[in-house]
Amino acid sequence: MSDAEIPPLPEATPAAKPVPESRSEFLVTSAPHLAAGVSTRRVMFEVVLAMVPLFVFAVYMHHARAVVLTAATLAGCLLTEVLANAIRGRSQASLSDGSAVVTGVILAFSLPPSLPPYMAFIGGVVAIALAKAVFGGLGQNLFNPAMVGRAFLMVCFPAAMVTWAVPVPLQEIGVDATTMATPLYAAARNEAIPAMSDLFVGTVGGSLGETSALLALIGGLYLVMRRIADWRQPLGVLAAVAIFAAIAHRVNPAEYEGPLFHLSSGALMFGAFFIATDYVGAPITPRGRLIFGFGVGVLVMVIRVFGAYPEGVMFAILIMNALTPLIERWTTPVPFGGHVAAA
Amino acid sequence: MNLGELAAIFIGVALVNNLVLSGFLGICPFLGVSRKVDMAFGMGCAVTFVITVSGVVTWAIVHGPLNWVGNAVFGDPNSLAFLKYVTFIMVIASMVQLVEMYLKKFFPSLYTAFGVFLPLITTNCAILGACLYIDMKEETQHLLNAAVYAFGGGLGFTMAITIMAGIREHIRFSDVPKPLRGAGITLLVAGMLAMAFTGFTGIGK
Repeated sequence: MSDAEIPPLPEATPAAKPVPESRSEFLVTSAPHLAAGVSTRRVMFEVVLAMVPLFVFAVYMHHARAVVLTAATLAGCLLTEVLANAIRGRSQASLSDGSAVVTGVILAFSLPPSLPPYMAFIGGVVAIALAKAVFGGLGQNLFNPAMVGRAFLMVCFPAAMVTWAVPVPLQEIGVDATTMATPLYAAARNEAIPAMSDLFVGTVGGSLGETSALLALIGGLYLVMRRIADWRQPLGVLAAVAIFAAIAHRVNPAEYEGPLFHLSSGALMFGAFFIATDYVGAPITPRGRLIFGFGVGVLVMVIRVFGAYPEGVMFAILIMNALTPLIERWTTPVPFGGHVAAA
Repeated sequence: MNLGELAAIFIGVALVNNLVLSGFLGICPFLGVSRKVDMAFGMGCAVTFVITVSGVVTWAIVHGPLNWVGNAVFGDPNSLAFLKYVTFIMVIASMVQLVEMYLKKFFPSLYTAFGVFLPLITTNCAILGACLYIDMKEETQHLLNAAVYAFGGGLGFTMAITIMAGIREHIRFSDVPKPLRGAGITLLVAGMLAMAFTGFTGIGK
């Protein structure tokens, strides 16, 4: 049958409402669907909203430094995002989804307040360039960008990354020094640790926005209740840390602090609710998320108790990010009726 | 020699000073055979076997014939140290031959999948590196310690290459920029993995 014998197709009647070509190909409408109204932008906005109290507290603790550091990481993240989009010839749409902002703020919160702003800027650049842009942008990355940025700074500027400025309110009540040991560092060297109430509220030395376990808990619970963050990762982290710390404390109370200390010190609460719940780096399977959280908690405690670093949240998250593909592989749910042989 | 010392050696070589992620040894199979998790795990097992046996045998050769002959003929146990490299490579090569024959007979599919990378285990510097470390380090001068060190090194290699294979299967769907696809992104990931593993510094000391 030659082409000439094919009857010509009837002229398509113009649709009443012209649908864009590209979208109509993907439009599958069988049932009435309800739009949830959840967009990347909205999720990121909620996360930023949950971090506002922490930022206010950081400004109270460190005054102008908090603003300068956050501005520096944000500038690094946003500029790199713009550059990455430009290099790959993409639209700058990814700028408005807010993911780079969240990365910048989380990175700033995890840095020592006295870090020179140019280092914070470099951290922001590395976070977006090395951890996100090379994988093709949001959703395709493997490691948490903020944690890669921080790990890079830790490798490049080890001295500046472990110098902890005394918070301004503590200077006013007469702590006569410019730097101080963080509670975890003091605990690792068996020195006096601050009162548990100070530790929980966060009026101690430490990273810019992570010292307040209370505010991180409030923000985190808000995210969990809004269903922005999954409850599984935080639960896994907190449970693992509590169990591990309880056992260690039981074995040698003089050497190892108890669960309450470990839960409310360092970046733990912030990491459990804001970093471990990152959609991209964690497994997509429910069981996998629990395992992910539990693994983070165990690794944090292994590094805190046995390692040379006093804090391990960053390393734990990065290592579990790397294990995520394997966890997903092992925890893929079995479909009803059993697996079907691959075609 | 006690259990604590053995555990410290094992954790030290498997996690803290991982041959791949901290020593940057064995990068060739780490990049070449890490496309699929199954294959990577198979390669890891093969390397673990070769590394364990070679570590023990080279330890025995250094502490046995090389020392005796050197002592008897030249009056100095270290006088034949220049023979170490040659003998180490010979031992490793014969172990690889053993693995190759075994795989060819019992796992032909794995044998064809590995291709040239199977005989290339001979030149896997992680193995020669582990044998030389065992010869060099003070704590591995005891046979059992040397065996634990070699086995831990092999398991550390298996862990690293399996993690890397999982990651590479995962980022197959990522829109990696063209110039970075393949070895480029793999090396970048390896660097980030190495940064993550610096967190274990100080464990087991």
